Amino acid sequence: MRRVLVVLVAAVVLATMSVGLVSAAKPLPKLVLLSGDSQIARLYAQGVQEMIRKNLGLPLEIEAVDFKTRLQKMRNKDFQIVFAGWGADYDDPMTFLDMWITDGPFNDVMWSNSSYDKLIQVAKTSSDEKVRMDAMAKAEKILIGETPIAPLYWPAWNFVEHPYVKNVIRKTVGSDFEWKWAYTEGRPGGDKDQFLRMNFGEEPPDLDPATSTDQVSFWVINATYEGLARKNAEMKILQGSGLAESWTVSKDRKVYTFKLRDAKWSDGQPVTAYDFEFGWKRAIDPRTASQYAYMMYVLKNAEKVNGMEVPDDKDAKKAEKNKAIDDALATVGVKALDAKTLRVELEAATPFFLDLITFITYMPSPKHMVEKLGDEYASEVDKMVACGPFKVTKWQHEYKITLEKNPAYWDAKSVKLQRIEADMIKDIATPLNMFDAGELDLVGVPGTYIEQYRNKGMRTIAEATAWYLEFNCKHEIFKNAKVRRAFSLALDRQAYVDYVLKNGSLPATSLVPPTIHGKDGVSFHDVYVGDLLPKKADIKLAKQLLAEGLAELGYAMP
Amino acid sequence: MLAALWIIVTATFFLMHSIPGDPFLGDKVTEAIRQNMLRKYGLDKPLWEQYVIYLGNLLRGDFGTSLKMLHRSVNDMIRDGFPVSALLGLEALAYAVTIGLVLGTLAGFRHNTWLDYLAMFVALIGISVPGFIMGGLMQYVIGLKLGWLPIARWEGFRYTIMPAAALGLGTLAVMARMMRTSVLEVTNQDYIKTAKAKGLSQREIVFRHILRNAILPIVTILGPLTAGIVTGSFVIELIFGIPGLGKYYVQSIFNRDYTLILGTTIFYAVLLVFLNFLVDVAYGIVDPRIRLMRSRE
Repeated sequence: MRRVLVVLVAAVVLATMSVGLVSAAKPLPKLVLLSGDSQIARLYAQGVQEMIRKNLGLPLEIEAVDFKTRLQKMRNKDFQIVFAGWGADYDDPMTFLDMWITDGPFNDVMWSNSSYDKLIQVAKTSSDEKVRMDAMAKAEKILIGETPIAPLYWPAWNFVEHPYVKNVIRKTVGSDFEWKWAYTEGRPGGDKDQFLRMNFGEEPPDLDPATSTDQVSFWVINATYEGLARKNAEMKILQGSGLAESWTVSKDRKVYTFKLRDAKWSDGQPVTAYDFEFGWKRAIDPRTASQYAYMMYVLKNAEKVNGMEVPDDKDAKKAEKNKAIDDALATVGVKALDAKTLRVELEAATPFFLDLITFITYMPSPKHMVEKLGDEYASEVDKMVACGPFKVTKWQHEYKITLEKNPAYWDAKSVKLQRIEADMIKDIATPLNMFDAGELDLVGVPGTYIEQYRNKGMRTIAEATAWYLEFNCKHEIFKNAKVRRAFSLALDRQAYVDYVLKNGSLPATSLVPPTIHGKDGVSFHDVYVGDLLPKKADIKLAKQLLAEGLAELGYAMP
Repeated sequence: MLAALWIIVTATFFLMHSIPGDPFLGDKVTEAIRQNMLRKYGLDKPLWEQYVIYLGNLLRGDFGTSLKMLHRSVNDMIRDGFPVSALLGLEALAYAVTIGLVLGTLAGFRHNTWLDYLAMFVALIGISVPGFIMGGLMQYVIGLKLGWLPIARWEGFRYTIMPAAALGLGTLAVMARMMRTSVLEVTNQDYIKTAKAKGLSQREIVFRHILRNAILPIVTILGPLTAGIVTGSFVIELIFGIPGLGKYYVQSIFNRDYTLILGTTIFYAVLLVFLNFLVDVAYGIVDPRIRLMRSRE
């Protein structure tokens, strides 16, 4: 009897205590997920909302805003959770990892971890590939463990092409379409006229390689220009594949010397090492205001020069400041030793530098044209020249662009296509109708049409892109790593790609997509990192972490 | 009129700068590089200074350079796009007005007969089915399945038929319904009875008295309607791949392309004012009581 009483009293005391605890804890604030406002973005955000509701029992509100508003809010750190994505700039895990260092320019989550910073520093400066890969793998484990971001999926791109279309290569990193080796075989009406009809979806905003930033312009520039090297169909970079015949690398791997081949611009002028030096420095020059200047920061002094103050017209010291920029540009690590020799000096040994030289910003600029035309270069067909497999021959703004084979190209004999015609139709259904009617040869298949084209020879290509949730690490709830991790573990990634996306995307079990290569051409994800997150939600652990995290913060579990 | 334009310019200028973001905000643009670009294009200056500079350029007829298509001037973009949109719009208008008026007149005179019901059914479809649905349907049936007309692109008259039909459908419906109401109203006026009593022929009553009076309200809405339709339809141009002006109205805002937002808005405003003036003139022709010149005499 007494024992019963003791138990009863103890129970009452415990119950009172727990009630007291609960009432002392703060109620959870409203949780908001910031997302894009397109129909598809809303749908994707609702998928997340539902998983958090179901698996954590938490209500999550969606704030859908347009693209620029979302970015502005991210830069202002005015968010709790935001749906965001990042596409690879070059084929190395670093393109996904260096953005999360303390105060990195794109580190909107305000996460900071000194071990992480150190590992990235090691990977950035070491010339030993093995050391780099291990450091980056370790860094990624820290990142996923502390969960300032929760990777969700690696997207895929779907397309259909008619069976007579051959050898159109879609690169996962960089400039996407590669038409150099494309041809047709068995086109109804014959293959005598070798051409390809595509839909670019929009006007290329900027065909000047030094300032261009968008995908469509990149397609055109990749076809009409050539850098020191060109990736082959297997995404390998071989000596002699581009305008450089060969190159040598110094022992410390900081100095590259490129020997250029005999090549001509489409107007007959020779392509020289001076064009490369001029083009690269133009991108770095802060007065050019090139958005992708940061791609050049691996060059010695490039970042410093790019950050210099540009005087405005009324500046009294205008001449002085301009001279300072000119002087500083002379110290940047790119120099034409003669017309055929380009010497490049890097800040640090950068193993992915050879991948960078295929990037659009690293294309040469025709000095003889740009000096004459200035900002007007590449604004119209008669104001640009080509050094790649094709050249722009007709540009009907906002309507259609036509590329034709460039006879002045050094490897013109490998180019079979005579012509590429590209529409700029933004609608998604129209191009599919045109494809079915035989008016387009290759067309992308957006999510809603996948079922219709699945059995019509649709192909799926994994993109080198990751989509993830970013957590504001200064937010009252999400400053706690356990809470963030709880959210990440509550995501059922497999179900999400199967039932929400339904487009061949893969569940992201880490940040760096499997398409990114590590040492010796293996997948960085598969070999060095593995699955850091489960494909299915770990609800039990997620709930436990949430409870622990909220208790640490003094919030009530809902 | 100039005052109205000035108010439009000023309001647009300050409103668009109040939207979050700017033209150079991008997911891969570092803050340092963004500042560099803002400076290059003069967007780092105080807003009032930018406003004064813009007004100065505007007085010289210079809309500036697009901040998205950095190599293209807004003047060029309007010069290239407007003729296309105008052609498409006028074609749509031509057939919307003709068919709409005929349908509306017939429905009005044959009130509550099958002809009336048929005309109003067509009008109902025109009002309730948006142009882009009709356009998509036509693309699929007439373009793809029947192969009678090209699905999209802009290469000649054949390419204009479907988009013009889709674009004009809504206007056609409005025309038909307004004309019907108007005819019914006029038919019951006393002066029609008088005309009948005078013993005028049916033909004379219809053409001189009924139609001439019934068309007045239609002329009124024709001005704004024309401005709306010839400056391009975002959706119709989008789905038919037509290089017109329509898409700029939407995309420029999405891109925070300030110069293009202002350029297209001002262009539209000027056109609207001009067309309203034309309507006033047309009024005078239809209804001599409101002729402009006479009132001054």
